[in-house]
Amino acid sequence: MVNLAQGQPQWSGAMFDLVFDRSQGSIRPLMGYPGAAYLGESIHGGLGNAVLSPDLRWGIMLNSVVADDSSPAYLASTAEPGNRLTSLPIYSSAVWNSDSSAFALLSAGGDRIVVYGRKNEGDWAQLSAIEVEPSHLSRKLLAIDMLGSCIWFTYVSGEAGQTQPLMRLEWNNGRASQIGESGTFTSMFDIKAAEGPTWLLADNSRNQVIRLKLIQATGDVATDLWESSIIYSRMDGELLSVAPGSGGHYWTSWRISPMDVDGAPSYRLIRHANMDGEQAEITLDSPANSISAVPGTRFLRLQRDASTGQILYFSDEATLELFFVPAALPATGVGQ
Amino acid sequence: MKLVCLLNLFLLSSVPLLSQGNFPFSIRIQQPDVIASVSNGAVLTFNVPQGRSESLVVNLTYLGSGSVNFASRPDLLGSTAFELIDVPAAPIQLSNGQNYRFGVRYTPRSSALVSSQITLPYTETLTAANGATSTATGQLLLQFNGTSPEFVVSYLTPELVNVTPLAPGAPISFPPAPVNGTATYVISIVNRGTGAGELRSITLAGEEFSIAGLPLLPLNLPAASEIRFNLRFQPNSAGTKIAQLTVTTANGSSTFSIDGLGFEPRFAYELISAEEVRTINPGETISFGEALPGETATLQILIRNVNPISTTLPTISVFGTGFALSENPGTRTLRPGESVGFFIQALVGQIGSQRGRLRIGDDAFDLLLLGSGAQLRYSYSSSGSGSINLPANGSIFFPASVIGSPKTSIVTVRNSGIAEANIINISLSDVNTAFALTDLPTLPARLAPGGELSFGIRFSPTAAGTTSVTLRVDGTTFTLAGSASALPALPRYRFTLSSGPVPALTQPAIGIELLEPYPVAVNGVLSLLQEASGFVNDPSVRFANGSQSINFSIAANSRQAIFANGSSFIRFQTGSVAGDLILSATFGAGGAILPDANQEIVRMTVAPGAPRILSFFVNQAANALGLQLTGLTTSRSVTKLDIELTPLDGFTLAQTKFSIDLEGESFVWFRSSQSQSFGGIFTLQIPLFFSQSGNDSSAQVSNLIQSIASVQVTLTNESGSSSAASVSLR
Repeated sequence: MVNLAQGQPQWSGAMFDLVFDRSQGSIRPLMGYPGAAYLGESIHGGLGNAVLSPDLRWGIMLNSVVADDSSPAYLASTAEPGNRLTSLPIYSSAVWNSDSSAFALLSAGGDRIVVYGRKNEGDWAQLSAIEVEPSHLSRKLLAIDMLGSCIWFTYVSGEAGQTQPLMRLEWNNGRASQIGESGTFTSMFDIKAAEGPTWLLADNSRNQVIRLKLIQATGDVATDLWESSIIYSRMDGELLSVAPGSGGHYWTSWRISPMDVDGAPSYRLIRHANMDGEQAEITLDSPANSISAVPGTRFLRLQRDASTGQILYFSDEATLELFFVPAALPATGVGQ
Repeated sequence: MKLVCLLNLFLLSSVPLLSQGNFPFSIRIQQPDVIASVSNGAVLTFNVPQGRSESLVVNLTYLGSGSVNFASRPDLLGSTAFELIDVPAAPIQLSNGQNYRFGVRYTPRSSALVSSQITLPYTETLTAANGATSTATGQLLLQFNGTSPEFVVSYLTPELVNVTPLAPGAPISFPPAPVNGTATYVISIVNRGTGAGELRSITLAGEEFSIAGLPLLPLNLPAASEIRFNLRFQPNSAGTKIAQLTVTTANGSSTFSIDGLGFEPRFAYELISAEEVRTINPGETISFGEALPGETATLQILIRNVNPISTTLPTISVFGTGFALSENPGTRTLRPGESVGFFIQALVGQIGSQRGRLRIGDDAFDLLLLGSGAQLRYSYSSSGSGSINLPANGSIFFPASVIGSPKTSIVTVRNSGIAEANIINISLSDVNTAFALTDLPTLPARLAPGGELSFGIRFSPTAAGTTSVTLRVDGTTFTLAGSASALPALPRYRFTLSSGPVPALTQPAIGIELLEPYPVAVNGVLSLLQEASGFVNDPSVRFANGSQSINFSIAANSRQAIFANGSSFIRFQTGSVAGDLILSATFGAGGAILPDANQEIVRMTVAPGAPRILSFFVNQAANALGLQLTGLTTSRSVTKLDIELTPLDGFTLAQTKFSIDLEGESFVWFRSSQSQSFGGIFTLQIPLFFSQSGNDSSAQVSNLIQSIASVQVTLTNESGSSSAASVSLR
C-alpha cells in the first residue's frame, strides 16, 4: 500500500518567460501569461547583450554593446545574474545546444571557437578551444550538438546570393570538415530521432530545409532534402529560418513576395507537423528573425525586431493564437 | 548804276574849281534819264563797276548875246579810262541859244580812283550896242573822277585769326566736324573798290550747311566797307558734305564750292587704379572693388582725343547714389591725341552692390561698387502667394485660420552682401503660442554671399481670436500675427468594438471612426480604464504600446482614426481579472479640446468564471511528486484543488483522489500585494510525499513514484471547476 501525504501549497505569481530586452540592456521576466502578460522590471541590467540558454537558466552576458574579444563576457545563472560563474575569453557570437548543457563561442576574428560544457549543476568548464583556418574568413555558428562535441558553422559572405560551405567541427579530431552541402545557411537545430543525431538546416539559397544524419558507425554525415519544407519557389517567397516546434514538428519562417511591384511583402510562419507535409500557418506583418520555444510551455517565442526587442508569442497548438507583449513597462514595482 | 553815277556827280559838282563870273555858257550834263546843270570847273564822278562803261553828254548852251567860237576840240588830259566821244568837228561858232555837245565815256580798268580833266577853249565876240566888237576868251573846264566797286569774298576761321580770300569758284573747305556738332566760318564780303557797290544776294545750296547773321539784301555797300555773316557746317551724319555759296553783286555773281567732312567723334578711355591701367570701352562696367560702408573708393579716368581734329569734350556726368566726379575737365577742347583725366569717387553707403553710371557724351559706363560685409534680406511666402519682402521689424500675418488647421509660411533669409554671414539663433519670443518654427536649419548656419536658408513658421491656432509673437533672427525681429475662427463641432463617432462580454487573456483590436468627415486634422487619445470587480486591477490590461492610453489622429476631411502604430486598429489585453474594461476617447484639434457632446464608450466585461489551468507540470523525486500548475481565476479566488492519481496496474494506492481546501490560502494570496502584479494568474506548487505500508507489489518498488501512472488536477472556485489537466508520468 502506498500512502500519500500532502505538503504545504506554495503560492506565487506566474513568470512565463525570461527575455533579454535589448532596448533596455537588461534581462526581464515576462509576467503573467500570453494574453495577459507584460515585461517585468529588470532582474539584471547594464548589459550589451545576453544569450540565454534554451531552459532560461543560464545566460552568456556581455557588458559591451560592441561584441569583440576584448569585451568582458561571462556566464551567469539567471537566478543570480550578478554572480559570475566564469569569465569567457572570447565573444562575438554564441550558440547553445538544445538541452542547455553546452555552448560554443566564436571569436570576433572568426578564427577561434571555444566550447563550454556543464558537468554538474553550476559547474561549467571549457571543453575545448580550436583555431579554425583560414583566419581571415568570417564565420557563423549554426548549432552545437547535445554533447558539445560537434559544432556546425558556415562562412558569412557579404555578397548577396553567395553560397558558402557547411562546416562541421568535431572535437575528436579537432579539425573542421566540410560537408558536401553549400548554400546560404541561416539556422540549424537538432532533433531527436531514433536513428541517431539528426539536424535540420535552413538553406536560404534554395528555399529548402535539409536534414543531416550522423552515421555513427562511420562518422559520416548523410544529407537529404526535407520535402515538406518546400513551400515557395524563389520567385514567390524566401526561406528565412527553421526552428523546432514544441511537439516534434518544426517551423519555417518565410518572406512572401508581393503580387505587384509596389506592394509590401508579407511574412508567414509555417508549421510542418509530423514531418509528413501537414501544415498550418500564421501570417505576420514583419519578419520573425528568431523563433524559439518557451521552456515548459507549448508556446513559441518570436523576437521580430532585434533592435527594439519586440516579442510575440504564439501557441504551438491547434489554435495557433498569436499574442503580443505590451511594449512599455508598467510601474508594478516587481523585480529587483 | 546811272543814278548812282549822277548822284555822285552832283555831289562832287558842288565843289567848283573856277569862278563862274563871266562864263557865258550853261552846262548841262545829260544821261539818258537825267539832266543836271553844273558849273564850269565842276568835278564830276563816275562810279562804274569794272567791265562796264558809262557815258554822259556835256551840253553847252551859249547864253551870250554875241557869238562864241570853238576853234578846237575839247582836250582830255588824265586817265585813259575816260574818253571823249561824239565830239563835233572844230571850229564851231555859236550864237545865243545854240548848243555845243560832246560825250565823255568812262570805262574803269580797275577799282582804283582815276581822274581826268577836259578843257575847251573858246572865244566870245560881243558886239556892243554901239556896234563895237569885243572878244574875250575862256575855257570850259570839267574834271572827272572815276570810281568802281570791287567785292572780295573771304572767310575767317572760327578763331578769326586767319582770313582766306576766295577767288570766284574757289572752294571753302570746312575742317571735320563731329556729327551733330557745328563748325563755323565767318564769311566776309569787303568792298575794297573806290565806289559803292550793290550786294544783291547771297544764296546757299546744299544740306547740312547754313547761313546766319546775314543782313537784309540787297544793300549798297560803300567802298571800304564790309559785311560779315556766319557759314555753318552741321553734319547730320558721317561723311563728306558739299554745298555751294553764291554771292551776287553789282559786279556779277561768284559761286564758291563748300565741302566739309562729318565724323563721329570718338574718345579713348583708360581706367587708372592702384592695381592697373587698362583701356575701357563704352558699355563696360567699371568696378571699384570692395570697401567697407563709409569708406570711399577712387578711380581715375583718362580721356584721349582720338579724333582727327581738336574736339570738345562732351559733358561728363555720373549718376547713382554715392558716386561723384572730381576734377571734372568740363567742356574743354582736346587736340588730337591729347588726354585729360578726372576722378570718380564712390562712397560706400550700404552692404552689397551699389550701381551707378558714368556718362561722357553719348558714351556710358556702368559703375559698380561693392560694400563689404554680409547683408541679410528676408522674405516669406505662404501657400498660394509669391515671395514677399520682409523688412526688419516687419510682420507676417496669418489670416483667417481655422483652429486645428495649421497654416505655414516659409521664411527665406538671403545674404545679399558679399561676405559670409553667420546666423546663430532663430527663435520665438514665446514658445507657448500657436506659432512654431519648423524645418529649422542646423544652427549656427553659415550663409555664403548669395546663399540663403529657409525655415517654416506654422500657425496652429488653438483658440479663436488673434495672437502674435516675436520672431527673432539673431538681432532682427519680426512680428508674427494670426487669427483664427472657432472649430466646428465634433461629429458623432463609433468604436469598432461593441460593449459586451469579453474573455480574459485575449487581445482584441479596436478602431475609431467618425460618422462624418471633419474639416481639420483631429488628434485624440483612446483610453482604457479597468474597473475590477474585486477592486484589484490587473496590470496587464494595456494597449499594445504598454500604456492605458494611446494617441491617434484623423486626417482632415477623413473619418478613420490612425493609431501611433500606423494602423487603424490597436490591440489591448483584456487581462485576467473579472470586471469592466471601459474604452473611451477624447478629441482635439490644433491643441484645443473638441467638446464631445455625444461621447461614446465601450464597456467590455470580463465575467467571473471557473478557474482555468494554463499549465501543469509534475516534478518527480524518489518518493515525492512536485505538482506545479499555473492557473487563471478571474475572480481571484480558488476554493479547492482536486488531485487524482492513477496507479500503474498492479499497484494500490491508499487514496487516489483527494481534495485540498485552498479557500483560506487563496484568500491570503489574492489579498497580498505580491499577487496584485499578476492579476488572476497564479502558480501553485504542491508537494506530494509517498510512503509505503503493508505488503503488496508496491513494496517491491524502491522508488515509490514509479507506481504512479499519471496525475490529474482540477481547480474549483465559487463559479465552478476547471477542466482537468493531467500529466502522464510514464
